[in-house]
Amino acid sequence: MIIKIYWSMKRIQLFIKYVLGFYIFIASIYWIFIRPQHISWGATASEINRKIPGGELISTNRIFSTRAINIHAAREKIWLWIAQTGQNRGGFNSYYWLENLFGARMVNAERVHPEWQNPQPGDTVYLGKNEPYILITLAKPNEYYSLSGWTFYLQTLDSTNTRLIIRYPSMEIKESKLMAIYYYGLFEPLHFIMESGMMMGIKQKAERQ
Amino acid sequence: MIDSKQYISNKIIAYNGAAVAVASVFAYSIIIMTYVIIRSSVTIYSIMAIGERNTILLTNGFSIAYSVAVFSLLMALLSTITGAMAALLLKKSLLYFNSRCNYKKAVAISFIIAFTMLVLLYLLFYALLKDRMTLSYRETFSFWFLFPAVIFFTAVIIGGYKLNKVLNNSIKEVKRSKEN
Repeated sequence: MIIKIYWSMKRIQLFIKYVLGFYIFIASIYWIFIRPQHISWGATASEINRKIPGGELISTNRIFSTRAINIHAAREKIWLWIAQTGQNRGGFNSYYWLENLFGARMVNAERVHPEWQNPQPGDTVYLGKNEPYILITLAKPNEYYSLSGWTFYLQTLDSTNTRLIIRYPSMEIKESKLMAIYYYGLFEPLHFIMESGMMMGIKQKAERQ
Repeated sequence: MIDSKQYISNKIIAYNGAAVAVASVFAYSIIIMTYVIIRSSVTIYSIMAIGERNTILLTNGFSIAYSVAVFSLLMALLSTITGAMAALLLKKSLLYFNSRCNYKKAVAISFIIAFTMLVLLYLLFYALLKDRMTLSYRETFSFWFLFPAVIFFTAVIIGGYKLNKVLNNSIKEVKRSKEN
């Protein structure tokens, strides 16, 4: 009997080893192939290097990601969805069900709300219920919108096509090893998932209008 | 009451309890990983055009897998404490309240231990998280409360049942060796 129990414990230990092996595989693929991709997902070299409003406000202790997506809509239509960003407004147009797993109490608006269409510098944007807020630092309708350096930039391609470029500055990781571990280990991939989800959410809603 | 030192050592019990907890966290994480990848991929598939789809599906999938892996390693480390504590509590309680190694009684004791520990854990979470603990969303409730509770109950009850078998056997062996 004891041998039988130990045999099942051996199976549990073997399962743990397999999962750890799987995690090492995932981490290797992520660091070698995926991270270099997602840090500039969809963006061209000129978009990565270009100056975007709000960049001058960011300290040099941060690293940046620049992501871009084509949206088949005029920038005036895209702006309507960007303007109402925030948990205390129309949500983040991302995976609300994932945000709500962490108690964010997020509801993505399915229509344009006129009362949220006039964001002003200094306005608060909540990331989740009872979570810290960030301030709108820049807002120029139909052009750009910046949340403490997290900048959404709209570039017209032609009358019905727009490029949405988003630049995100990391937290101050260059002077804190602990912060760097947290950022690279967990925050950065999670931010990519949510930000790309947001870009696609905005694309879907703007194109549907 | 039986002297617990005569039987399977506390160190082995704690180690096995921790291993079961880690395995449970990993199993749950892989289920969650699969669910999140599938659900977000369906959304991506419905939005992105054919030429743009593959890169984002792959990048999104691996980023989710990586995040869940890191998070589950942290959770696994924390869960070793709960697993080891539950296993030791099971051993002590089974030897104290169930010296004849009755299987039905062992399951009942395991149930009580699982329930008590779960209530204490949830009180601890509530003290730490307060308003962030919301039961308003089906996903949140299932993810943080329902599924972990089901896994915890199952692990403690099966663990208690199996531990009872081991204790029953070793009690018999100790008796036999004393008789000889």
